[in-house]
Amino acid sequence: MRPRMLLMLLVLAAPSPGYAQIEECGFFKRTIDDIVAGRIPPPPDDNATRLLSVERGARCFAIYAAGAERILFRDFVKRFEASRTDKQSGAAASGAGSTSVASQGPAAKVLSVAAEYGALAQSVDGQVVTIRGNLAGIPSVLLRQNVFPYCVDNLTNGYCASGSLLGLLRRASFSVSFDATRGSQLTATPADGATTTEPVAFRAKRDQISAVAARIELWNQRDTTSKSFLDAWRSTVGAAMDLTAEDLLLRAGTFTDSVINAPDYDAWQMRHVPRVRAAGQNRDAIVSALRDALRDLLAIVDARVPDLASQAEAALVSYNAFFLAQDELIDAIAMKRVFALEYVGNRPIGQPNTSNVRLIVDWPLTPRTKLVGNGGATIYDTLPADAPAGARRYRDAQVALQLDHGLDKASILGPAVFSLAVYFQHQHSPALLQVDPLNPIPGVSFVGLSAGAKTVFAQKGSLGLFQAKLTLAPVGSNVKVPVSFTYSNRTELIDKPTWRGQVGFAYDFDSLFALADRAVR
Amino acid sequence: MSSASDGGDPRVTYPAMSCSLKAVPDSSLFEGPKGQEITLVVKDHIGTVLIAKAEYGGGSLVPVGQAVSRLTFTLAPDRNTLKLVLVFSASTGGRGELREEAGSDSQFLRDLAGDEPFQALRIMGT
Repeated sequence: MRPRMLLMLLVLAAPSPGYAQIEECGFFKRTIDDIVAGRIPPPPDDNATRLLSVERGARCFAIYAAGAERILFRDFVKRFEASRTDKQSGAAASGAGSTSVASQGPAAKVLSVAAEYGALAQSVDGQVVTIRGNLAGIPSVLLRQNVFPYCVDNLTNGYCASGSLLGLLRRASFSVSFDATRGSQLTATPADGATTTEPVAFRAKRDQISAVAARIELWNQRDTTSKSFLDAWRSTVGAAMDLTAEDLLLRAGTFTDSVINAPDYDAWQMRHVPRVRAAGQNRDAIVSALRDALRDLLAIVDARVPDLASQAEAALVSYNAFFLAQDELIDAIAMKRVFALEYVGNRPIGQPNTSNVRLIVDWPLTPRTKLVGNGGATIYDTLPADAPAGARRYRDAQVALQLDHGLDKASILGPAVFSLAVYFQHQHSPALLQVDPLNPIPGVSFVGLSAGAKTVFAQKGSLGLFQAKLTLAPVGSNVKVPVSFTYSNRTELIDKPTWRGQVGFAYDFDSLFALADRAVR
Repeated sequence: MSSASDGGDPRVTYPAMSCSLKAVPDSSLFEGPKGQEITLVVKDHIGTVLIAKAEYGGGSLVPVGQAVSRLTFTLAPDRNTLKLVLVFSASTGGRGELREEAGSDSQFLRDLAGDEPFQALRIMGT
């Protein structure tokens, strides 16, 4: 069994044997509860007519028409295998003639790639590409493929993903950073004066992974009821839900049209509504009347619309995507107070590997302004054998404070964010650099070292840093461009004040995948 | 029918208007006079509810990329279906209601729930 399958099974609720009951679908259940409780809706509405209105409970009728409430685990596994798009149909990404530049990944929705240039407290600059994801990625993709449904009610045999489960999974995220500069290869230098073409020996350098990180939100308090949240939701929901709402209008509309435009639909309602009324407030009798009506309706419409089940299935896919998009929007714009713990394993070039543990506090002050605080410590994974006498595994401790202010009226997610940050690092153990003439550290030149020197070290002490940053996000694009200026009293290696400028580029691939998915559908 | 209770200046005198949609008994069908302008509004119960898409007579009633709480259309002759997609700030837990408004008059049409974001109204223009 593949790891992805194992992970997927872990995130699903425990299966329950047997079929679920269609009357547990939210719309049916609410209406039956109202009838049993004797709750009478305002006129001209009435509960018996409401229960048998496809126009009002299209999702529940679609579940019945698709037989989705009868899906068992074996069907679920079949759907999963059928939905897999990660089987390489052409040449492998690394193969000659391949049209794929990257292998397919299941967590498309949550993948984002950020390429950054520049470094803050480090003296070694580099080009770093970071891939981030969270644990909700795989279930979200499977939801969109309708491999399993979004949990709205209790009729899907437990094989569904709920908004709360996805919210929980979104709290755990990971990232891997690749240093693009490490991909260059070293060649042997031809002898002086050589004028002919000579073969040279290529030697691959170490792998390009410069850091791995895992982060978990220990506490996450969302505000989804305040005026500021509702204002932000109102101003963004139309555009954010445009594609999924349009898709739902089309798919659910097609299914509903097939049923309500059947010539016998009105007669079916007039025949069965009195039977529901005749059941009075007896739940079993109402359920029995509902089941009879559904069987009768399916027989009527199936005879005229042979692909009704396919239409229902397509509608359910759209419902899944709609609910997921709605939850993701709410999650994105809700002001959140977050406490998170982060681990970062650094593999810097020319330096010993380090592990960093950091506590993060993210505290919105207003819809446009938030404060972020960090406190952490770093240790060397192992000390080099020839480390200086003062070196210890406990390398440094850091604290940082950053104030973000959105320059847009809506929220801090607006088109531009201005940030001010201060950072303090106490260097308990000196920064160590490993000298390797065959793998020089980019940007670092050693002068006057003895021939046998393999490790050099910098001064201990404290360094402070101040940064002003403007992050631009052009309207309508998924690109973010951070531009920053940083002043530090020193760096880990250089004991002199330093000014730096940094420019970054980040692209959110989610929208690209959404467009591709839409094109396919 | 009930009076509108959505506020407004009590000194304003509304023209004598009344709601046009009538429910057909034992059916989910509505009927109303063709050519009549109909105004539908959504009211919030749990969270906020807005109309993200609305289609009637082959035309779209909500501008692309927007979500509205009120829409107006003219009743076409014969049977047509108004299709709505609603968005809820409280996700599937959201609740609201759909009403028809005409001047100072207002009538309840149906309740709205976040787990049934697609709604259709069959309306016969007579």
